[in-house]
Amino acid sequence: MKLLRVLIVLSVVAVLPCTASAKTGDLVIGVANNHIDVTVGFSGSSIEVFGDRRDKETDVAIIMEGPRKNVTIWQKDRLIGTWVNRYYTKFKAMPTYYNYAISVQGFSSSLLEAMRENGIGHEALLYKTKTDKSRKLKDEKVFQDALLRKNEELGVFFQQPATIKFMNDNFFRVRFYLPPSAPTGEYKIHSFLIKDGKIVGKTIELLTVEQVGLNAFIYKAAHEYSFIYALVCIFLALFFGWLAGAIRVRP
Amino acid sequence: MPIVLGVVMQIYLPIAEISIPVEMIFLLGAFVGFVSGVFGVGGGFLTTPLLIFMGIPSAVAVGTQGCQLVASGVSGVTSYWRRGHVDFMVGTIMLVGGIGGSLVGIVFFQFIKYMGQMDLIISLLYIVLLGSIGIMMLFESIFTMFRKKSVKSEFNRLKAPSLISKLPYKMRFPRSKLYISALVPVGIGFVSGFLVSTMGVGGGFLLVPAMIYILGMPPLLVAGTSLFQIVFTSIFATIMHATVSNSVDILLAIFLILGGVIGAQFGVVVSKKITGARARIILALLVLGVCTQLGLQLFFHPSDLFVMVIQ
Repeated sequence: MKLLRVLIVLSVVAVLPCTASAKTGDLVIGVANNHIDVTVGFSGSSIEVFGDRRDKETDVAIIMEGPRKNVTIWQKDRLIGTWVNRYYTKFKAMPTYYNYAISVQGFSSSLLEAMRENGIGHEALLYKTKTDKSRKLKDEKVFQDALLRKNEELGVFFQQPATIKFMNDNFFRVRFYLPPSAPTGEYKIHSFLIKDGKIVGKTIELLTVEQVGLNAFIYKAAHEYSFIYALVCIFLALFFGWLAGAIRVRP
Repeated sequence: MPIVLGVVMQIYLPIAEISIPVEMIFLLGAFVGFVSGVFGVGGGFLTTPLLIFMGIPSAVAVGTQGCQLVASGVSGVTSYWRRGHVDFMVGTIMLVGGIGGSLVGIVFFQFIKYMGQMDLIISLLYIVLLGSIGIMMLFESIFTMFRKKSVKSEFNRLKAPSLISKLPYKMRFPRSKLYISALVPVGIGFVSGFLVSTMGVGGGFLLVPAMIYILGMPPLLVAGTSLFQIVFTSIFATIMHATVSNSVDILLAIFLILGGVIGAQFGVVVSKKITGARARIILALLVLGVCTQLGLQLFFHPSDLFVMVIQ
């Protein structure tokens, strides 16, 4: 079984395009499948990232992030007896999916600094994000916590980072879970090679999450031929409505 | 709910962009269809809040509901048409207002979406509408049940208020035997159009009393005529929602409609057992129940103070 796994990893790594290799040539990663099909029956998927580090003294960190969008967090407050969205904080270009994995055991202060600079971990993610908030708003931390919690509830952020599994000294595997609520679009898999608390190499792999088949057809029709799409919707509604009237149980 | 049926089939909705058990949509459609079969109402006031509660974005819930209104409207209007109980002239004049109201509603909808107050405004609109209609219907039906008066005699005593008879652009509507300002049906249609495009309800329970009390139409023609108008207004609202905000989900609509068709069959059977004032009391309580539920969310301390909106 173990041998088989190693073979799979080897074969995956062997077919990796050369663009995926790190600057230093010491880290190579690949994604088992870089096109995720969202079909009508889509109920989530796992993304397997395989990697190979040349030097077993080094560590690795992998981030998977979804397409970036602006996100607003509203806080409700009482206004004339009702609870309304009162205060806001807008987070610019937040990933709509975020998960990471890191193989480091002890975090030195220089490594934490490097992680912060490279957006590894939730704290780093928020540190780099530009915000825009409503007036008289003092405590941004509350909104940051709410942002993380809301995303965790959606299943697109994770309280615990994913784990890096080493199959021998060099080969490793990370499994990221993609929930059904995951947004479609271009995902980025950043990988970092860490040595002596410093990041010595970076690579990026792309992953596309896209609606296919009937879903893709409907999505495309609704956005590009919206008038014809509307007519089809109406025609179907008219047909089913007529049918319902025709088969109705008569008193 | 899906476990009851033994099968859980997740379906990924292409426009709502979420995955949801297909049985849930189907059962929701069937429940609403059942209610509409029993009481002869569209049931949109139930569908939209329940869809939003299930996690469908409110824009998609309202947009798709328009499509479902077309289906339920058509199935109703054909039977009235066969019996000749549709005043096409009044319906067409109301439709002019309906399209206007629908346009204003779409603009209003985009505006509240932009302001980030969509949930609040939609809830408030529902509370005001359902609260006032529920209370009126409850009192009227209790009153009727105890006085044992026929509904018809009630209607005949109410004449159009004098202010309305002073309005300009008078028109003759031979089918309903009316001579009234065209602005009145246009106004009523306008309100209906606004409701269709902002809340996804046909507003039948608002239109029917308005047409009887304000227009003074013969009650026999009211249901068919209001449905005729709602079908066309909903068609217009669906086109607007689909082209302006891409918020009509065809798969969601199909499952809701199919559920509705089947639910309505059972509803019609049950409707023979509960009729008249008693049915209206149950409907009024149902309307007030939904209203209270929405009110609780708005007036009581929410369990989660934070809301996330992704642009």
